Amino acid sequence: MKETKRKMYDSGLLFLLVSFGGVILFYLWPFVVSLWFAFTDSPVRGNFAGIDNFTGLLSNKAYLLGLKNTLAFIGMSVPLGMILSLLVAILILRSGRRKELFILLFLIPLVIPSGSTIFFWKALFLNDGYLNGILVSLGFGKIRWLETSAVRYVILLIFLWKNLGYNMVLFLAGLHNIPREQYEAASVDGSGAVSTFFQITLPGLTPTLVLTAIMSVINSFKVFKEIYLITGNYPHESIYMLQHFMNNMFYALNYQKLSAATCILVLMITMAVLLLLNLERGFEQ
Amino acid sequence: MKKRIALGCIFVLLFSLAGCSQSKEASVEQLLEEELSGEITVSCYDPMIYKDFFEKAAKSFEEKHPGTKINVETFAKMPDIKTSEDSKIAVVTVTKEEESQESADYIGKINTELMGGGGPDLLVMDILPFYKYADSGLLENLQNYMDADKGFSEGDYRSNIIEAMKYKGGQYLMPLDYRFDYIAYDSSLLRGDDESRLKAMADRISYNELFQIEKNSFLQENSDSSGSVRMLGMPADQVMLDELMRCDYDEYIDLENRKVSLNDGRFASLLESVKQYGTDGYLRPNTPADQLGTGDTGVPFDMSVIEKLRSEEFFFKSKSHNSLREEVLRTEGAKDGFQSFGFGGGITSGDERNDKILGLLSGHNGNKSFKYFNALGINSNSSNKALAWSFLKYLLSEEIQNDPQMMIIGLPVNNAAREELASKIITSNYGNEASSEDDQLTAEQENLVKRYRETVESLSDTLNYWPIQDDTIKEMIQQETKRFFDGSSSSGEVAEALQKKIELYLNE
Repeated sequence: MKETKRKMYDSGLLFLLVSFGGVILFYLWPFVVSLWFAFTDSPVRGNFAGIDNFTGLLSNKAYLLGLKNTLAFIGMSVPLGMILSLLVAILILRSGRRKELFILLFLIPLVIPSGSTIFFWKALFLNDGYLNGILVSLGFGKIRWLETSAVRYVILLIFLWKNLGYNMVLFLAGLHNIPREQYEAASVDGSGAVSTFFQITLPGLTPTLVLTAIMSVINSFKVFKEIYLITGNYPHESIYMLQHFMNNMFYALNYQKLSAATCILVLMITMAVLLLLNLERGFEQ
Repeated sequence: MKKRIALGCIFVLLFSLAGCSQSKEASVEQLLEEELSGEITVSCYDPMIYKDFFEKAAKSFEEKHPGTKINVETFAKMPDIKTSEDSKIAVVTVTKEEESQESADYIGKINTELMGGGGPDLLVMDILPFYKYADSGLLENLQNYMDADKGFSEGDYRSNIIEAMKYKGGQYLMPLDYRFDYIAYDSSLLRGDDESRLKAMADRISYNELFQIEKNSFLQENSDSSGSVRMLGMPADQVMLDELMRCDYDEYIDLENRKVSLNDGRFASLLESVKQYGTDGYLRPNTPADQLGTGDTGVPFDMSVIEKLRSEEFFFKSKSHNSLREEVLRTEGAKDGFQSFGFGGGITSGDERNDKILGLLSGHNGNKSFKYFNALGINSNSSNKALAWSFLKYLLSEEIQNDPQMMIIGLPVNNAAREELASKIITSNYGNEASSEDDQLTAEQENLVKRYRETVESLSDTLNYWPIQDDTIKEMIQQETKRFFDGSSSSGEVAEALQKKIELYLNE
């Protein structure tokens, strides 16, 4: 018996080694090597620079602007995205027969490649685009959507359009996991819709909420692809994100700043995820 | 077990870090003492201007230094060349689609190679962001080579050109040539004492002052005729803006010190001036290219449009140094036949029969700008820097710079080569006489060569300014100012938007 267990243990290790090797080779090792750049003064034949690159970032206007905008965007898009997708998920659950159709509709943006949607967004928001055409026909003035701070709302819309379906699926699964008996008991006790939502639905969704929040934060970074394709390397200052800074540092060959910014970002995301997981644990207890 | 794995990881990490650390390198003096051998690669983006020149030079260098090999690599596609001809005139147009992706791919390729510790040994700085490479320590400071190499004498070259191309005190770029534009005026359009007033300001020329002096003549000229005489043959758009900025570029965008000053009102008033010049009729309503049309390959151009363009009259012209030959021949009254060499200023210069040289455009601080066609830097990662420097020095030598191909590229920085090339330039096709290097120059030819040399050298002596430009910034300016010229934004809005964007770009 003991021998069989040992054999199983060994073959399990072998299977793990392949994927573990991949993670080390393609994720951990490049990260460790890039750590070296974060402590040098030049990417080629550089000397050890201590924490100069990190302190330099804290006084770098572009980095601070990117950080501020990224945090503001996460602060705005994650809660809004979660509230809307939860609302949609609840509505779909109640919609009865057309449930599958609505789920499919909300999932479509996930499978459309970003590149092909850019044409649509540009056509919609350009100075001479459809939206300004509608505004003008209604007697309003044109809005320079992509060249003023209004662009913030454009990217928020793109983020919501792209991620609503994903979060909705997570919430649908979470809602299914809440035992029906709890709702029935609440109904018998005369609990109203609002009270049921806050007393049963929301506490029952705590693990899903944490997971959705983590995924939304990660997806909020991914919206950079669309921003970049629509507005380029140097967009309006209100949507200059950390990814712009890092992407531009790559092209500027400033690998030391890029690595230092990556380290800080990894640290921040790790801390945010740990905080959310702790919160979840606290709720469960 | 865990301890062993952890120790193993630390060893591997330290080992790899040690690989990244600096190894002791040989000094430049030691490098230059090495015997030349092995091979190097010269990389350039544009095949049109550079490829033949470098390949020819590489071949003759290899013959002189057996055991060496110079590889020349180019990246971009060759442009389409179209020729239209009738009995009087032949028009050759070279069209190349603006391939921003192609140039970005090339820069990306070189960047990846450089950051990986490799890359071509010699980099031709046609589109590469040289100042970023210099900041990242990827280019050799050529001043060290110039100082250490006893066979190199700075006095043999145009020192003002080389000096002006220093960046943060280092010589990371070595120009092989230089080119400049000068201001000419049409003497037949001037009235009264205009000519003497213009000559009085020849040392510090600004468009605003030129237009002020000729304002009355301009109004009179256009009230008499059909109103088609313009002050300058440029369109009232980005082209004129560039022209107004070229001698004061650092005052607006100082790349070396990462300083941007576009929102203090001066840039906005510059934009307004361009628009005002257009409104006043001082500038062309459209570009010659618009009038000519690009046409399809094989379809001849409309010669009547070309004739019309060549007969246009302008008070002033900004002409390339290549036009100096025609200017000198005309001023010196050379015999008929020389014009078959071509019209120096191109069709954009209109009627050139009464043109006279005024001088160089000058910035507020007395800056007189120039550009280059061909400049190179040595990659710090190169494993054969001695050969790279030796080839670069060879490219600067009289033997190579004396090549007639240099004539169509720019003015050689090598003083002796430039002097010798002057006689070739003057005698080529002069008076329909075939001439060879060994031919004895006639007295008239000698005089023309002397005058041409004097003109080129006196203008070249004053060149002192090479503004470092950046393609990303150029694109930003182009995009934003387009909104001003099409009327969708005010000058203040454009200036403010550019200030923020460029400031962000430079201070990242």
